[in-house]
Amino acid sequence: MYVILGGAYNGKRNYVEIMLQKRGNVAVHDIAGEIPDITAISEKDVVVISEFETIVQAMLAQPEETVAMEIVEQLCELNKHAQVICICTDMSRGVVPLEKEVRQMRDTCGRIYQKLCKEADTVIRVWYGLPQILKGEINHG
Amino acid sequence: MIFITGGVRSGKSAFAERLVQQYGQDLHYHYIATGVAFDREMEARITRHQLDREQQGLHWKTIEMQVEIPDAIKRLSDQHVLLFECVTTWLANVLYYTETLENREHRIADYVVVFQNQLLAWQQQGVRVVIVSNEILDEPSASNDEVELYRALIGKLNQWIVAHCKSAYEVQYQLVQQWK
Repeated sequence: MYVILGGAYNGKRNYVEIMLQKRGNVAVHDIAGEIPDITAISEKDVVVISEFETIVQAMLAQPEETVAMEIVEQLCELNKHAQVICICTDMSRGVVPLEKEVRQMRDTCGRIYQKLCKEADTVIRVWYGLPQILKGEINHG
Repeated sequence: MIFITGGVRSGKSAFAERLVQQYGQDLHYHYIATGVAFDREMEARITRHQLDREQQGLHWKTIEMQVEIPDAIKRLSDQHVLLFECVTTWLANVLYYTETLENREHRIADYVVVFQNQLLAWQQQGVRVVIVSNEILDEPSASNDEVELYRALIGKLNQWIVAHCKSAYEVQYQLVQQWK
């Protein structure tokens, strides 16, 4: 599993697209704001998951740890079958949001990102288009 | 062209000023100030930065630039150093200035292109340009459209500058990471 981490509008998706171009002919599922049904994905396909803010939206009544465990488990399961790339928009360095729901969303995403970074083989932070490898290495195979 | 960002009070201005000292005493130093002193707090902030610069022994000429690039600095040479502080304030000025204009999105895009072209022109002229920006994108998206527009524009502009500059630095509490 790959995790691509970085602030909003920092060129994360563009970085993923360039990375995937180098891999050549591979089927890519671009999934924003949800976790796909595993049966819809063929083996060895690439699944790019983004917008964790939306993924957690319907689950914010539950404790953040429960939500995080559930989502990360699903993604790990998916990754056994396909290649998962998570685009994680870092929201952890701003002012504490005024709205309770946004605070809960931010905390839950943070918890998910921690777990994803632990599970991932490779973690890359993208800063205005430039990559920094925080963990593992980039495999273009 | 050198790009520097960091959070508030990260030491990025001090780093930028230290960095330009390597160019020596003989060049012409221009400080492009984008901040408008609209209250006493801003005045104090500007005065403190001016004092910091004077203490280095370099002769800085301060040039104010709110939105448009002043004619006086459009054509310079390799004898000039420009410290542009900062691109975040300049972009906020552009948004504020265009607020009531028709075709606003185009007007904003035009200002950004003119600014980018001027940066390329300075590169051609051999001007040593140091641009300071801010790290403001590591938080949840804004519920306010204007703020979200600003976030998108500054992110894209910072990406453009990073792609075109010779070196790029991120400063965190005086600790410097060179990204490029």
